[in-house]
Amino acid sequence: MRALGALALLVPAAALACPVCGTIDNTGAYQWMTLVMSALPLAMIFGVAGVLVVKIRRAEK
Amino acid sequence: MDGRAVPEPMPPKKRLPLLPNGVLGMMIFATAEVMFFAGMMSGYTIVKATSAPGMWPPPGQPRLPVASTAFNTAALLLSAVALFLAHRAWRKSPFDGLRGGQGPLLAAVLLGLTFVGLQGLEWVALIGQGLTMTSSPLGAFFYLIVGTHGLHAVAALGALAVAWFRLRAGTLEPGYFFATQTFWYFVVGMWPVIYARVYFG
Repeated sequence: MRALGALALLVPAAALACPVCGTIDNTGAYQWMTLVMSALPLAMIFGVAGVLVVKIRRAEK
Repeated sequence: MDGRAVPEPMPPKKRLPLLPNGVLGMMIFATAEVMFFAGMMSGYTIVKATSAPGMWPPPGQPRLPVASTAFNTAALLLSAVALFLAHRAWRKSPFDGLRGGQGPLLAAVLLGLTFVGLQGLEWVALIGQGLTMTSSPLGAFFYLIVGTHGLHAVAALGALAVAWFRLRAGTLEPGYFFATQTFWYFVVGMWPVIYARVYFG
């Protein structure tokens, strides 16, 4: 294992684990998708909660 | 005893649910499915961004038919409008055994079938032109994302068709109808995002 680790330090390109992390700069895509995938569940949860709150307020009137 | 009548205990006030259980369940299901589609489109976006300049769509692969799919998209959006009208007509028909809205509901089903049928024809044409699951990343993502959406559309159409038969028979329950509508609106609402991202992206 140590030898493999040393080899990875010598030839980092060969040790690249991510199959889609090539020489093309895709940082923006990763950042945007991270943002979308993080915000989407929160937005949906708050959306459903908002619908329920509105319905509760209407029912209480 | 002082002779005064003891008041009857008040019966507990019946509490109506804010949302039918079916609708709440369908909303939770749709939320999970939105994340499922978001995951696939996230993968698509990253793979596309990783391709070399000028290499997307991959060379030798057919272009996706944007114009004919715009027609499909219109049919799908119109089906949502028809379903909305069916819901309104159904709610306004309490003296008709709640059988109103049969025409718009049938129109919604037929428009949905038009969408699925035309998508099928589009797939046949694309496969004939060489776009398959294994021909390129574009083909793999296209059939995965659009196919998954198509499966949802078929399932929702089945539920809508059942709703229409029950509406005709006068046995359509509100909870079932509302849950089916939620499902169909999810299918319809998801499509423009897929169309914009996959066909134009």
